[in-house]
Amino acid sequence: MAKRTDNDPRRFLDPKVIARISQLDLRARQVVEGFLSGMHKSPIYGQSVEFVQHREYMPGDDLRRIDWKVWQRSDKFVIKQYEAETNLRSYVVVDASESMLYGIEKHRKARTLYKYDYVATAAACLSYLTVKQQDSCGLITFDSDVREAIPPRSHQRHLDAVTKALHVSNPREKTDILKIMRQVAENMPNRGLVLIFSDLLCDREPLFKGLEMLRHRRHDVMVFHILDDDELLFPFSGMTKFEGLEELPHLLCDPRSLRDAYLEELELYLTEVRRGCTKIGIDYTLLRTSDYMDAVLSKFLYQRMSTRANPTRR
Amino acid sequence: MLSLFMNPWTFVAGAALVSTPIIIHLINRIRYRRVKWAAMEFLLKAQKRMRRRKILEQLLLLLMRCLLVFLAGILFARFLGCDKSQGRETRPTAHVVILDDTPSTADSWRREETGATNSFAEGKLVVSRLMKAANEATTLQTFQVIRLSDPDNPFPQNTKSTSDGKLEAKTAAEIRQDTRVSSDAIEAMEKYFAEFKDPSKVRRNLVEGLRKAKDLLDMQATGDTAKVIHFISDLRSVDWLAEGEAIGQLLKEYKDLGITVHFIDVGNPPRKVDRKSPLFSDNLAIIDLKPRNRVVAVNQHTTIEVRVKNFGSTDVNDVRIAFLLNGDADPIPSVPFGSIPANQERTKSIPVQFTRTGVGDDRLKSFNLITAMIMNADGGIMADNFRHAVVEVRPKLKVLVVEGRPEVRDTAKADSFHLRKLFLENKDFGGFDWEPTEAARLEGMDLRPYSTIYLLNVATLSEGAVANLERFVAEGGGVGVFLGPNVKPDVYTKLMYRDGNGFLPVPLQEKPKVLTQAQRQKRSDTFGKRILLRAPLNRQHPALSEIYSSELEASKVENSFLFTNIDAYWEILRLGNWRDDKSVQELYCMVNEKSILDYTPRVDALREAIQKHIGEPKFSDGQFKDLRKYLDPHLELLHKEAHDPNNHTALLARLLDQLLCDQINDGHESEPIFRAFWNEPELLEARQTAMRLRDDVKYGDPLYIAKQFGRGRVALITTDAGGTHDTDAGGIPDTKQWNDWPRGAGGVSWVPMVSEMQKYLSGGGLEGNLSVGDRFATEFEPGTREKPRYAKKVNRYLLSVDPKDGNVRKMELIPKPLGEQPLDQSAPPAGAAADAPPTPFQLSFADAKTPGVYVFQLTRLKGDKDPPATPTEQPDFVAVAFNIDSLREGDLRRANTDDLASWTNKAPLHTLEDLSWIDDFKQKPTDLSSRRWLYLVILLLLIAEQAWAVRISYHSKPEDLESFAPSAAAAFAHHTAPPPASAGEAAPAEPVEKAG
Repeated sequence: MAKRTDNDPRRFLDPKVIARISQLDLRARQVVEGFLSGMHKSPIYGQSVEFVQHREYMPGDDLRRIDWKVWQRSDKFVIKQYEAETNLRSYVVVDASESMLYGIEKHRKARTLYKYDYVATAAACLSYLTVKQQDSCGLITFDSDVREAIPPRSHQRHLDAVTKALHVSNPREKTDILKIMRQVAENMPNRGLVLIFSDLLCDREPLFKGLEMLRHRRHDVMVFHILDDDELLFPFSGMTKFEGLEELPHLLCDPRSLRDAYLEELELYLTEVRRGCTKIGIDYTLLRTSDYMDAVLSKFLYQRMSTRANPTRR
Repeated sequence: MLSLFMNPWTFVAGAALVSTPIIIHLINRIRYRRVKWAAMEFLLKAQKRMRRRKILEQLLLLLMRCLLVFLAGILFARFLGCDKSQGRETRPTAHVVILDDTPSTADSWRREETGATNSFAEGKLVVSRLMKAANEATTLQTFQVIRLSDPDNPFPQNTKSTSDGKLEAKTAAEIRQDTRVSSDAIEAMEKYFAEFKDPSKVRRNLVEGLRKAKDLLDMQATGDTAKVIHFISDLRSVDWLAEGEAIGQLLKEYKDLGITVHFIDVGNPPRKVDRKSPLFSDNLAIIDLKPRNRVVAVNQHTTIEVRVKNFGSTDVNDVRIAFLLNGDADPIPSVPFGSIPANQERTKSIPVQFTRTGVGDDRLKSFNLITAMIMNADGGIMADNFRHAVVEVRPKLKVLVVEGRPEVRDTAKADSFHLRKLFLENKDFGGFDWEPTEAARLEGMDLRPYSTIYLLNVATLSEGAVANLERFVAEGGGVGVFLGPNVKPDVYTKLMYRDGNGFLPVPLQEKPKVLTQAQRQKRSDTFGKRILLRAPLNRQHPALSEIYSSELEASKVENSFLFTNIDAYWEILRLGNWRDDKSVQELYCMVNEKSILDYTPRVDALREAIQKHIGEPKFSDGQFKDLRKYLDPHLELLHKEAHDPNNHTALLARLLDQLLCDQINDGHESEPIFRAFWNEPELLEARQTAMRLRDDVKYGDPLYIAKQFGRGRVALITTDAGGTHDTDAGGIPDTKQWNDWPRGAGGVSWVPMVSEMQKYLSGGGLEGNLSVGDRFATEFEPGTREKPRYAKKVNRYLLSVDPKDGNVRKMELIPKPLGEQPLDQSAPPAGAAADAPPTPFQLSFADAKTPGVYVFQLTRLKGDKDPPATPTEQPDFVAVAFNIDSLREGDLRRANTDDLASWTNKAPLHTLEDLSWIDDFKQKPTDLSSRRWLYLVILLLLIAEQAWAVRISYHSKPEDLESFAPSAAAAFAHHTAPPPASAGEAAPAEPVEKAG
């Protein structure tokens, strides 16, 4: 990886750098601008409407979209389809439960991102990027219940509402993930792209049911599974009392003695989650809090482009 | 409990510290950091999965750490062990060392560090080490050493010299003071040992040493003093087989008395645990050197018998024995013994003549020293390669002859006629001074100058004469008795036999037995020996062995017995106490002159018993198939001849001999072997009956009886010496001669018989195998109260050669004066009359430390009954050879370790290879810290603990993530983040917080 200098706008992809920026909207702008400036071709599709294909008119189609010139030549009603018509509605679903606040003290001291901090930044970035592409972007945060639900909009002021909603206090435990997913689904009447940011530390069965429900509603779902580096590495030593977040029991142990077994259990879990997502057609990405932010943005843009290129996928 | 430790409080602290690992563990459980953790699910699952295993692992680790602390505590607290006697180690201790310095400890070998050494030298070193160890003790340590050869003189002595030069016993306090171990005492001990470069030549019993050691301990020790005996010896089996039981008994008593006995084996090679019978050195030794005669005439032929034994475990070849006569090797040639197999002995007789004698003041020279030595002896003990003997050589041997009929002394009728002819005229008998005398003169006569005294048909002797004779025999003289018709049996039986206590071997019947004409006729009609060797073993009797050593001579003698007629003799009771007297041997007997009909019933009974058994089917076939073919006719013949009154018992005896022989006839191959027949168990009783019958039929009355009396010898012939008697003289009808042995056809055996008898009788007085250290004691005529027979001082001389110095072939023999000693005379028994005769003078000598001949010169004073020409004082000599007890000291085989353990009740047995036990006497209480194994255990435990700790510890590596959680590893690998930090370097999630 090329070393990023202080003048490089892409330096803001580094979570350590991002963490220095306190305002979330500013963070999003810096990240996205920095991210985009590094790309060879602007991904902004703008106002120009590009013809993609003709389609036979179906009852119920907007009459305004009938290509009359074709009707004139062939006496057939066909509909002109343009790219501009595939306007993206994206929903960013952010887990704001207590488990997302793991290591908050440590990260604040080290001026790095903790899980929620990371996903909030990523959510802001995606919102900013979406709005900047004139797509609409909504936000849902949840813990034991849906906390905030901001419908998708595409104007600039909408970003303020998003960033404001991303500020949480008094996080609560996740309880019934299926219930939450159902509520999320209900909050998203139109199909769109659902970006779920969560540590997924919950029961797998309701989780998959919830995700499956989203898929049934024909949403494109992307799961950004965020875990702290500590959770992936389990680097502890010395007698440690692990106090379970979200009402989990406490455990006093020598973490070294359990590390191998922990990692094995973690692997089982990650594998299960990844397979579960893959099985129901959900794009799954494992993130860690030390990952650069472009991991998220790249994944999103890739998904966005593939959606435009293959609208039937919906 | 605390008394089990040298540093008890360290142990208490150590015991407290044992819980340290547990406490640390508990503290660790209290002192922990808190982490608010989201992924509890995986942690709980991991913990559930690993819980039991981790507990076991941690418990094992905890146990090892506790054990380590415990062992460290034991180490530093210096655990003394659970043996309560350990606590007594610091008591004052009395040590007595018994140092075996008997000749066997001269067995030498070579050490790489110090060169040549031997068991004795090693023993001295052990003593030195023991003493030095005791010197390091902080309590009172007393120490005495006994040399086993001289147990009465320990070092330091328990006696002291007074101002007037006398010795007196030290007080207990003085003993404790003088035996106290100190640097000076060690130096004194080393000086004392420097005087004893070689082992002693004296052998002593182990039990004697142990008893003496206990006495010394009792004198050294007070109240709570520990008593220890150190027995340093080569522990040979010959000693322990003889004394093992007695030592075991003694050790039991000592154990009860709280005496500890350590046995230290200084033999080579050292005992091994896996070899119960230790190896031993080979050794060849002269175990006996015995001249045939104590006294010989100049140029008289005599023999020296030498016995050599190979005590080793391998054959020894080319053994040759050389002889020194008075230090000169020339007169007696060396003798080859060839090869002597392992553990076997060989005996040879060497003919010798002596030319050196001494007369008058030079009488000492009449004692000729003969030294035998093994040539080219390699290894083993040197001291037993030499042996000494002494022979007194006189110009002529005086033979005193007492005749019953002095009036016919110079005629052909004389009882001594044939003997005198033989002694004075026969060239082979040269060198005798024949001195006739009368019975009446025997009383009070000085008999010492005579080598032999013959009583020929002596009717009676006075009590004084008998006592004089008895003393003469007891001191080594020889008396030959020929019984003739004049003998008064009651006097012989009463005074000379004295119920077996006198010198006469047997009691006599009331009157002699004279064969009738018919008996003589029957005897002449029967072909058979008329004199029989009473037992086959008699061939080896010193009175006959020369005859039977040569087959030709033996054949001549035995054949002459076919024609020897003994017509009259003194019948001896077949049964009697004399039969049980081991000193009495019946050498020859006559044939049975009883009627054959006396034995007919016993023959018939024997025949029936045999026939009853051979009728059984067992004897009808198999190996006994042909038996009856020979046995039946023989039994018939036996039956037939036993019923014929005209037959002589000799015929019956021959038939019974044939019956008991292996083969009845002349030994044809077809004959069955009767040995197998007689060995059948059913025939055991019949066989014994047959043997008894054969003996009764065959052997008649005794003819020649020998007796060892005191140091002297007696020979009794139950018939006379061939004298001619008047019919009336002995009241014996029909005969003038009792036998024709000296001059008849049987005379061939007479000469050798008398010759051997003379040698036998003059061979008494030999102190067979007196060993250095033994006590020699003899008695001398006391004389009267007014005129004692001997002066009370005895001069002593030692005749010896020292072959180690220079040329052994030409050594001069110079008698070495050994000073004087008193001639003791015990006090008369209590209640004895004032005029009772004084008790005999006693010469007792037990100070022989050097092998050689010890000559005692007494001064004989003139007595009242001595002839007037007798000098007032005249020297009288006694010579005794002392040698090493090579029969026991030469045997270097060592006692079996198991047997030793059994005899000593498993008393501690140490070897030269491991003398670390001596350090115990430093009384620095031994504890576990001096045990190497403890350090080894701790080291192994430490290694195990560390290995286990590493094994169960978490030592994270970057690749661990890949192997345990590849998905997480992929997250690090594929994304644009920097690589993960090593888990070990990872900072804790949150600052440490103390619980509570």
